[in-house]
Amino acid sequence: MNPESNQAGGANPMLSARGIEKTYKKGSNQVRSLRGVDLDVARGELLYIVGPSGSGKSTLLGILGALDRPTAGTLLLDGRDVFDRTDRELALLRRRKFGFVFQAFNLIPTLTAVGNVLSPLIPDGSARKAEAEARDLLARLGLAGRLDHKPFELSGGEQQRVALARALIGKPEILFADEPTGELDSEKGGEIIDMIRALNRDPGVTVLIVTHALQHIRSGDRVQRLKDGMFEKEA
Amino acid sequence: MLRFALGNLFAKRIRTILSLVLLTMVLGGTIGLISLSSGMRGSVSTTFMRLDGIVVIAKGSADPLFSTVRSSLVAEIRGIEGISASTPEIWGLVVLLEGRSPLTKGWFSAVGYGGFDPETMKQARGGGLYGKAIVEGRFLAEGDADAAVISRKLAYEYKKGIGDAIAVNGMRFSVVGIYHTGSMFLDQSIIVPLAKAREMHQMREGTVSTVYVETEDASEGSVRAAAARIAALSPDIEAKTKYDWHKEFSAVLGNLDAFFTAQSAYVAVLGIIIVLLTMSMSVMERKREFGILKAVGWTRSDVMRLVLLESAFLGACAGVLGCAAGAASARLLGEFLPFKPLVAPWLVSLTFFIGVFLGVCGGIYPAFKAASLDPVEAMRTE
Repeated sequence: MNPESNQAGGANPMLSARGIEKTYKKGSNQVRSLRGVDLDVARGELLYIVGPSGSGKSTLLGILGALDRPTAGTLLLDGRDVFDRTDRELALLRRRKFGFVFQAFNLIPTLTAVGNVLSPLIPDGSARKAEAEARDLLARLGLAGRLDHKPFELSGGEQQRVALARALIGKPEILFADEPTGELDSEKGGEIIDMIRALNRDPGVTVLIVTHALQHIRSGDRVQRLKDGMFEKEA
Repeated sequence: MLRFALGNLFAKRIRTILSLVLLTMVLGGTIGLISLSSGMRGSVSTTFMRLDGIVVIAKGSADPLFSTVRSSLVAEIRGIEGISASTPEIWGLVVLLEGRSPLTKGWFSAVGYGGFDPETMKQARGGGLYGKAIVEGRFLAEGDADAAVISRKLAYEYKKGIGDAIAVNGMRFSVVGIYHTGSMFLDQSIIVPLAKAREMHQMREGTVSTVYVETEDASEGSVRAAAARIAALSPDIEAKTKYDWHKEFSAVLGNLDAFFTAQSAYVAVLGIIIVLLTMSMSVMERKREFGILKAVGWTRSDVMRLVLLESAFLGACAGVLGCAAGAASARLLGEFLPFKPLVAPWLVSLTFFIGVFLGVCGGIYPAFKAASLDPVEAMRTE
């Protein structure tokens, strides 16, 4: 592991977060999940965000991925404020520039593997045109024989590969992976991480991975440690 | 999007089928009732359009059965310029036909008798309404004492042919003719000589039920003008043309239409509630799914469109099935009714579009709920 500065994005970071805070109500209590997080991510970078359960990793990833709005702070994507946008614009941003992989796979149970991969493209009517591409993508991820299977007919590893293909079908600039190996055994988890690494190398997708599975982190990887809603200072 | 919506709708087959059955029942029931109303309206129109002339009736009598006018009117009316026929009629209800009440055969089996005068009836065009409709045998002739003319429907129901005897209110007649008008009202009559009808009705001499009048010129204007002149003869009579009869019955059917309008409003509310409950349950169960879709880039309007498409399709299916069920039940009812329920093409189209409308209306609130879900919260739903 090679912990680096949390502002390693260079002069013109692709993603730049400043003073991100998130407070939410839990019963009658206010919980401060994030307490002023600063982070720069350079284009083409692979970044691990690690930390114990409840440290705010998933909350931070949700905000960086424009799934959730922060209570305070700013997030710039290519220099433009992300949360200046309407909900509709945020949804379109997620569709066109971001890809997501979740711990629990989060596939649509009524759709086949191909259908799930195409699901982000259904609203703009481009799903049918992209069907060959989706099949090819699944085949490249080793699912050539499982194209028309529904999620309940697939193993955990296969479901996560379908989720990865879904994240890639829109040719995202940034891939957000929230505990992508959390539901998988070590071997299958390693395979998924390898696939994500390959995407980072070519075609150079920027990758943010939230995990507590430290065994997949390699020497040279950039790692940010989150604890109690804040990044730990460098040792 | 359509394929995805259809897949979602049939993911929970039992619930979708149950909703479809309920929606089909309410839409099919309505189409059945409206087709009955249309059929009855058509039958009434057919009946009155057959009446060429004017019926002179006691003022305030709703029906010839309850009317008594003086028989001297026959000659007075004949004396009016432009009148080509004036003939007396006595109408009564058949209480016993072949020794039992005709009503034992059902509510639509009431039978009336009409006493006609063959001599003056000859003045009417084609021998009058029943004379024109003879399909077997002959109409009444002068000198007939106990002859009867019955409808083809009654001949079939009571197994009577030409020359057979028939007992009407305890009096015996011989069937000399069979007529067929095709009207559910007119084909329920037995035509007998005026004197026999007077005896059955116990109507005193010098009176009759009605006077049937025809004009030389059968145009609406001439008929109406003649009716006005006849009505001016006496303050206790009315001269009703087919147009008057039609208007009166249309008013009665108008009340039926008001009932159907209320029924349709009730059906619409019921249909919307069925769709609302079905789609609300579906949205509640699929919170996580909507969260995922929003996470991967679906906008609020995309999610709304999906849910509305599902509910509209549910309504459209119910519309198609409702049309089929309504038409089938109307056809089945037609086997037992004296008129044919009418399932008009406009009614079929309207039912389909009402189905879609109910689907969309019922889907608006669940669609709004689904679209408003927070993706992060929704994806946490188990």
